[in-house]
Amino acid sequence: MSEGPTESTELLLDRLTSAAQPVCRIPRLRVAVGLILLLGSAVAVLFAYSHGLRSDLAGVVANGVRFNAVGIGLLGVGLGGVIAALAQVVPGRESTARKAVFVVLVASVLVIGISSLLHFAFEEAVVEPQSGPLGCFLISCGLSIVPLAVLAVVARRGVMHHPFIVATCAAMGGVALGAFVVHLCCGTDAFLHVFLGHAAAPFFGALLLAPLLRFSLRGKPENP
Amino acid sequence: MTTKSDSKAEQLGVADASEGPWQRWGELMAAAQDGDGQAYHLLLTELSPVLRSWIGLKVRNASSAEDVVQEILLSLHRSRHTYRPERPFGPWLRSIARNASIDFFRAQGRRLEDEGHPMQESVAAELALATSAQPQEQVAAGLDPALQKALASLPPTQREAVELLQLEDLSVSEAAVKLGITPSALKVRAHRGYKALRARLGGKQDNGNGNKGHGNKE
Repeated sequence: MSEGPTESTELLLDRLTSAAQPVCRIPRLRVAVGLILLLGSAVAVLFAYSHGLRSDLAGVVANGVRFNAVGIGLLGVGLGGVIAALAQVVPGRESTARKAVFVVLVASVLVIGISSLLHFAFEEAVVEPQSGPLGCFLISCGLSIVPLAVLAVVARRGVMHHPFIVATCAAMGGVALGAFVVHLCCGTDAFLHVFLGHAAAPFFGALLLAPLLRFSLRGKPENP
Repeated sequence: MTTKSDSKAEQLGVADASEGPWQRWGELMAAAQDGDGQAYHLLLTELSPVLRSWIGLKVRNASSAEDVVQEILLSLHRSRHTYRPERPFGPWLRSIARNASIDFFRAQGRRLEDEGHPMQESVAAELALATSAQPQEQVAAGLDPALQKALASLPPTQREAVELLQLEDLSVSEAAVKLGITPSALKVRAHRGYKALRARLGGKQDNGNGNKGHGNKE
């Protein structure tokens, strides 16, 4: 028959501690988030430099309620998504992850619901023909690739209990940050364009990129 | 690696024993991350009864509780690089313990579902029947020749897993420690072994083995 439970636990402790090597700690959450935002900003600056910000940016920031609602919402989804994804892979940071998910939810309501309501309440209640929202959406996804790649590298070092949720938060966050930059650069104000190409980009982006990101977050096989 | 004389475990051993254990354990964990094996051993030794008491509240069966404790210790070992010394140790440990126990019971549930398969039950039952009330040395010889042959034809890794769980009657964690692999990996090997045995014994088992409900103990 087998050894007693305590004896086998002692054996396990001996095996674990005898094989213990120095480990490289995962980076602090704020350092990881800062690194991702820094890289995202660098990509954004390059894009803005090559494409140019919209010419009437100062005017729409001062007067465009819907423009600001979408922008703030995208920023909230972006920051919240990135922080939620990274916090979920660090044991003991669940409360941070929950708060970040809450921010994502509130920002999602703002970016989708409130911005639509604001459009119909304060601006002309006419749905203009859409003009190329797919381009803006794809650019948003493209701008998110570098930050998401860094996020995946950092997240893979953590503890992955819900990889699909991590991937979904990360994809939403990354694409939202990209969409925020696009929102500052794109001069089209048509409702459907802004709605589909900017405001809803994080959600379509999550549908598109989360499975890929989930694939890249796979844990190392345990060599069965 | 640190030497014995400058080990964090020795520095903390007596002087800090009266202080809050969480801070002390956090410092031991930080030392363990730097390769201080003595501090790591002290930490795990001190954590084991704490984990045992946590799990004891949820799991009444002592053997299962010990398996969960071992699973948590393994999980803690694998995740030790995720601890940051500036963060509190308690929430980190609780999070690992909670997730490891959830994973354990989820895997156990899946395993029980797998064992519900009549073919697998019959293979396990035949193995169990052969092992009951026999000395270990005679167990293999006492098996049905067809089963013995099928067992011998398995790849060594799968055969080892099946033998340890069914013939030597070890728990999953004990067998995993013995083979130097994780419990999850052992379960996968055993599952593949059962599947291969089912395939090899297909015709014979289909004729009906009435024994039910004996699987490898957890």
